[in-house]
Amino acid sequence: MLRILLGLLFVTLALAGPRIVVEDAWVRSVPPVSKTTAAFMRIRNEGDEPDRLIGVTTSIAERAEIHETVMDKGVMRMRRVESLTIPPGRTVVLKPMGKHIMIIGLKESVDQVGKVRIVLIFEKSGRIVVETPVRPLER
Amino acid sequence: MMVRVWLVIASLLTLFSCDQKFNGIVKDEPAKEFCLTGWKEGKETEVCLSDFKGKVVLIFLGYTHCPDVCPMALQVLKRTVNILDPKQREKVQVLFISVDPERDTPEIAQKYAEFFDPSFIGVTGPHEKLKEITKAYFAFYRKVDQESGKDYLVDHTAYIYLIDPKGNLKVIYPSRKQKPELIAEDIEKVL
Repeated sequence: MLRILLGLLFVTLALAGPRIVVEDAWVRSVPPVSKTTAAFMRIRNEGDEPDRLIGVTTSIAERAEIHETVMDKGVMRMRRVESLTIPPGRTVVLKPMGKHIMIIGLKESVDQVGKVRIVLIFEKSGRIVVETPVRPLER
Repeated sequence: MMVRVWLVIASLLTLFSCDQKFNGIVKDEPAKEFCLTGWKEGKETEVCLSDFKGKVVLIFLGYTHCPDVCPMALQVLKRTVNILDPKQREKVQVLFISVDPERDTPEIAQKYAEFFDPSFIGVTGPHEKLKEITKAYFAFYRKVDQESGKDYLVDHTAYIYLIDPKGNLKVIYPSRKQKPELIAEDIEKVL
């Protein structure tokens, strides 16, 4: 009996908490002289507790940060965001002219690699690796 | 008789609206002349707005470390010229002005611009000159230091400007109005 109860408790614990799903991720291709690019994606929380994106890393660049583009009276401002909360049952959309992952200090041209491995670090869910395709520029 | 009067009024209205209706903020005033530094055949070269008299000039002010708005605007400009027929394209010049001369040399500005289209020209210059341009073109930019390390961001207006073949600043497109089809439509009107 105790075993069954313990088993049930384990299942419940496993089901509780946040469950992060990352979809439609892409990296913007930029000219090779540009050392900066951005990644966009949809982050969905299918769990029943909030989670927070607290960091991002990628081997293609020196570092990656969470940023937000804000249009204020025609002036484009970009600001670093410390973390991004993903509430349960909600999707946070990272998209052009909005929140995005800024990839700084590119070590190689994203145009050449095709895919970029991005590691998203969540407070509770830990590391989630996303193989992110590079969306080529129309030329 | 009445019908004829109405027809005349209607055609006049059409003429009037053709002349006035543009898809951005209409300015219609002489565009302030400027000369900046470009990069051609492996060396620095002076590029002035007046070099393109007789052409439509589309100007965008940005910087190459800008990952979101700047590549988007240059993509819009690329799509705009793609819509035009080859004859019209010959009469259009896209000019990318970097407001970040510390990091963007004329060579980098040019290489950035030409990556989108070989005909695009990228230029930059000292801040005194850039500030004069931004003042005359209702623009603004400011360096913003990041708490983290040596990198910085640049707050800037993200307008696209349309200069007509006579050298008038005709239309300003704020980012929400930067649609290739609409800019191409306006280019056809001024050519």
